[in-house]
Formats: sequence, C-alpha cells, structure tokens
Amino acid sequence: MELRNENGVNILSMPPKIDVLMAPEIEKKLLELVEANLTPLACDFAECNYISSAGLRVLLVTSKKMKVKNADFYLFGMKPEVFSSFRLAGFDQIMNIKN
Amino acid sequence: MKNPLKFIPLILQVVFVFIIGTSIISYLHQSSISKVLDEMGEQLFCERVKDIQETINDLGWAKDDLQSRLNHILDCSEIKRNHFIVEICAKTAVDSTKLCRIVYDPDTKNTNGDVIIITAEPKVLNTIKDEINKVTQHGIIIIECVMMLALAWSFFTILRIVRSIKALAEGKLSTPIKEETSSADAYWLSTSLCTLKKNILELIAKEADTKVLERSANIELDIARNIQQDFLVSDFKISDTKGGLDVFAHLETCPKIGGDFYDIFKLDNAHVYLGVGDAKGTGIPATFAMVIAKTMIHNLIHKHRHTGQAITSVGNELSGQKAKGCISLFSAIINIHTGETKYALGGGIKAYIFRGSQRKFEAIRGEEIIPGEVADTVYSESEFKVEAQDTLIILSNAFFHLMGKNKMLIKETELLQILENNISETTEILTTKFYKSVKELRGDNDPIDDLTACIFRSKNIIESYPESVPPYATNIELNNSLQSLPELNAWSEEFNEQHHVPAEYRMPIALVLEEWFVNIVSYAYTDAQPHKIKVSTWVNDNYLWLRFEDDGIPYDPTARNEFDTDIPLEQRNIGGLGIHFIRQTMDIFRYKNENGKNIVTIMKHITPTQPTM
Repeated sequence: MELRNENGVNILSMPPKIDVLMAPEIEKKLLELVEANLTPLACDFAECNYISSAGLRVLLVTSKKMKVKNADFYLFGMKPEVFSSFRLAGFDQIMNIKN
Repeated sequence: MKNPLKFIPLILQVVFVFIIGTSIISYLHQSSISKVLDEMGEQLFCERVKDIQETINDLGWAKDDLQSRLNHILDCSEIKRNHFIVEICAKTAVDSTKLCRIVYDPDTKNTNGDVIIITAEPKVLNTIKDEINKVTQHGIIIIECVMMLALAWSFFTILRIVRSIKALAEGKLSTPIKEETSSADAYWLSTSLCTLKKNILELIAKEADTKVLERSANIELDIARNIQQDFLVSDFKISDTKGGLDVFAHLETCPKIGGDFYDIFKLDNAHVYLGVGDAKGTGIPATFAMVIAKTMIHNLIHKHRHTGQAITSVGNELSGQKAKGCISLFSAIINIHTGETKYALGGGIKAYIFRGSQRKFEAIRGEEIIPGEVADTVYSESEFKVEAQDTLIILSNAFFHLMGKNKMLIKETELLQILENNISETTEILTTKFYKSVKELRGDNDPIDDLTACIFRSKNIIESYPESVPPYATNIELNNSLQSLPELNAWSEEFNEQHHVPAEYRMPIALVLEEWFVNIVSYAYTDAQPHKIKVSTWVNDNYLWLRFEDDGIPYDPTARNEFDTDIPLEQRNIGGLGIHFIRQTMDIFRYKNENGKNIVTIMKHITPTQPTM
C-alpha cells in the first residue's frame, strides 16, 4: 500500500484483493492517516479486483471517523465488479465515490 | 271589489281556495301540463341531483367531499327558494303566519324540495298536500302560483294569467308576462309570476353550474386516467428466452378509471416480485388508493420481503384514513429458479396456477376482506410452488363481473377455458388472445372496472433440488480458521477453471465463499476446539452449486432480516452484509439442520450472458 500526495490530496493505493485477511492491515493504515489528520484523504482502487464485506467494513469505519472530523474522504478508480459490491451494500449512497 | 275574500269567513275562504285550487290543478292535469310540470320539476330539482348523486356513489371514496359540495349547491337554491317565499309573501300581502311550508326531507326520498301552500287549517292543508302529491312531486313553485291564482278575481285576467303560467310550465320562458292592473291581487300575481320566471331562469343557470360540476367530474376522470397512465405502462414484458423467464402484464382501463395497477420487479438475482392491485371504486379516489398501495408495497417488499406484512400495512394505512379507500391486492415473491413462491392475497383478485402436467387450474386462496375495508385485518403469507411447465395467472376482479353479449355474466369457467386453449403460447400472445376473446364475449358492454392480467412462467425452474452432495461433486475440508481462506479460494478457482465457469461469475462466487466461510469461523463455535468445515461444489447443467456443512451452533442465515441499505452513514452497521451479498448475487440460498449440522446450499445459474430485466 503506497501513500502519495497529488495536488494536496493524500492518496492511499488499495491492494488487488481486499478480503478478511487483508482488511486489518488496511484498517491499521487508514486509521493512522485519520489520526494524523491527513486531509483530504482518498483511496485509489485502480489496482483492486476484489473486496468482501470485511473490506467494506474498514471503509465504513474510516468514513464515519472522517465525517466526525468533518474531513474530506473519498474513493476513486473502481472497476465495475468492485463498485458492484459497494452498490449492493448501498455504500454508493453514503460514501463519496468518484470514478 | 278589490278583495271579495275579505268579506267571507276564514273557513269558507279556505274551502274556496281549495275548490278553485284543485279544479285548476285538475285542469292543468287534463291539459297534460302536469306532465310538463313534472318534467320541469324533475329537470330542475331532481335529475341533475340524481345524476350527481349517482356520480358520487360511483366515486365512493371522495363521497364526503363531493357530498358537501353538492349540499352547498342545494343550500344555495334553498336560500333562494326561501327568499322567493318571503318575496311572494310581501308582494301578495299575505300574512306570513298564514304561509305554511312543508319541507320534505330528501333523505326519505318522498319528494325533493319544498311545498308551499297558503292555508290556516291543518286538515285542509293535508288534503291539498295529497292533491299536490297526486299531480306532481316536484312542480312546487307552479303549484304555489296556482293557489294564488284562486285569489285573483277577474275571469279574463285569469285566462291571461293561466296562459302565462302555461307558457311558463311548458318552458317557454321568453314569453312576456303582462303586468295585470285590473285588481291589486291580479297585479301582485302577475308581478309574482315575473319573479317566478326570474327564479326559474336562475335555477336553470344553476343547472348550468351543475353541468360545470359534471364537467369537472370529467376533468377529474382525466386526471385519474393521467395519474394511472403515468404511473404504469399498459404493457409490461420480461421475455428472456435463454433464461426461460416469461412474464407479461396488461392493464386495460375502464371508462371511469378503476385504479388497477401491477408491479413487477427483480428483487435480486433469483427473485421476482409480482403485484396486482384493484382499487374499489373509480376515478381519483381509486387512483389515490392505487398510488398509495403501489408505492407502499414496493418499498415494504424491498425492505422486509414479507408479502403478508406489506398488504397488512397498506390495509391499515387505508382504513386509518378519513376518506376510506380499499384495494384488493395480490403480492408474490417468486424464486425463478426453484419456483418457490411466498404470497399474500386480500380481496377479489383471483390467482391461478395452471398445472401443465395435469392440464388443470389450481385456484390460489387468500383473505376475502379487501385491504382497507376493515381495520386491523391481518393478511398472512402463504406459499406455493410453480413448476417449469406451470403458468401463474393473476386476474383483476372486473373479469368476473363482465356482461356478455347474451346479457349473461361471463363465467369463470369460460375465462379459464380461453386461457387453457392458448396456454402453449408465450405469455404475451396468451394475454393478447385472452383480451381479444373476452372482448368478443362481452361485445360492446364496457367493463365496470379496469381489466388487469399478469401472467408468469419460468422455464428456469429446476426439476429437483439436491438434498445431498452428488457423487461427482468436488469436496474440501477446512479448519475453522480464517487462515484457511486462501486454501478455499485456491480450491474454488481450480474447480472453476476446470469447469469453464465464465469469468463474470468468479468474483461473486469467491465473495460468497469468503462471506459464508468467515461467518462460520467467526460465529459458529463457542469452544476453542478445532472443527472441520466441509465445502462441496459441483456443476449440473448450467447450475453451479456450493454447499457448506459445519457442526457449529444451529443458525439459519436465510431467516435473517433483510439488510437495510437505506440507513445513513452514522447509523450503519456492517452486520448481515455478507448474507445480503449471498442473497443478492446467488439464485438459491437454502438452509437446513440435519443430524445436528448446519447445511447451507447455494446455487448460481450460469449462462454465457446474464439475464437482463
């Protein structure tokens, strides 16, 4: 997971597979960034092919924390099959997803 | 002799008035003026009122509202009539205490309107009343003048005045009425006739207002028609030849707009919702009941997937409203792969399954009380199963109240025979032929309510559901640890590769495997002992099966409530999302507990391209 800064936005690259085994690692990293007040924060899904409910949970937790801080957080670059998991969960309605 | 009557004792005066009055009434009767009177009265007071009342009865739902509007109009003319009486009273210098007014209650339906006669004796009054009733029930104002006529003394004046009355009675309102000056009574009578004419003209103008009301009723029907048509297309079709799903619905609105609707949508990959509604009454009220019911059920089914609860809620909503509305409802959630259907039915909609194997119709039973009719009625959910060769047919109530060309009600058996004769057709052709044949049977008799038909068939329905793992299945046993997940994934990928499972299905299959495996590992065991989770997979025709077997605590995931995807971010919880994914992406999701083991069977129907709806 690589963190880069593009035009003042902190961007974290998502791994190809976000399953129950990968989720804790992403959660740890994202929460670090939230704690460090790195805003705006974004997740780049360009490399990601798979996300399960465990991965969605991490993004939900992060979104909630960012909202409490009133900080900008968004997801982008999703492939259709990954976006469909977000859509099935109804997360496309409550999270900021840019494509 | 300005007023000869004043020299006659009161009782004789009354008798005199009576005799002359009745003789003139009988004269009017003979000259068939009474008929004209009757007709005029009818036209002025009754016909339109009756029309409006019938319209109101038909409208049903907004009765309170329209009734008050109608009353308002009647009140106006009532005031006008009262005013008229006072006017006559003043002009004829008749003591108002000698004016007796009999009001017939319109509710008793004896007569419509007021009868005013001049008298002081109740006995005579009754006799005159009877006489009046003999002649007409409605020619009230004219009769009143006839009575006054008796007060006029000059014969020639009478003739002229009689002619004026005749002209009035025949509806020749343009005929001028001469102002009589031969006596004060004649003068007052003729001027009263002028006033009468003025009042009749006003009443006619009022009748024109009634026509405006009628016209507004037509506008209302147009609005109702527009709402209904905007709300749904008249035809709906799912024709998926590859997948075998074949659904068609048609709605034919009746002239008065019956408030029917149908609603068909895909709940998830495996479930189709079919709904048909048939509001009682017509016009805007029926249309509103339809809109409320359709919207509520649509949302409730998406949320809870319970047909009985949805109909019960609609019933409570409608019965709780001030303006009563009720609507027959059929709701069904059909698994297009297993044919297993959960449904609820309330009111007069009829549903049948045509059993292809036996060539026989099976009627689907429901609750007869129309939702909204009786508060707190509970509509329960029941089940039936549709087989691949079966056809499910839902017909709105109006089909069973159609008048045939031969003036006989079209029978249910006739309707079913038409359906059976065309059962081998696609649902679209079957529907078209059905409507055509019904039209031939009924000829020019308009239906009293909308005609809605919804026909469902699925050739996808699997012949038999596997109760156990077939011998050709591929199996794996895993430790109850999340660390076993890569092993499960690799095993599944190898299987998919070998069986050429199309790429678009592999992500959902991996997702489902992870979700259910993680669920078992996380929640099934309360001890720290190692357990084995057995997973099997096999392909049979175009069906890919997954089966999980664990010895954890019994838990039926299929019984879990629907995951609510409408909750705002702050209140969101992730619990149940995995099960939601399985439901949404797979075609069969079944649970059983056998020999103390949890067995979850999942099926995905695999076609080169996904069915689209």
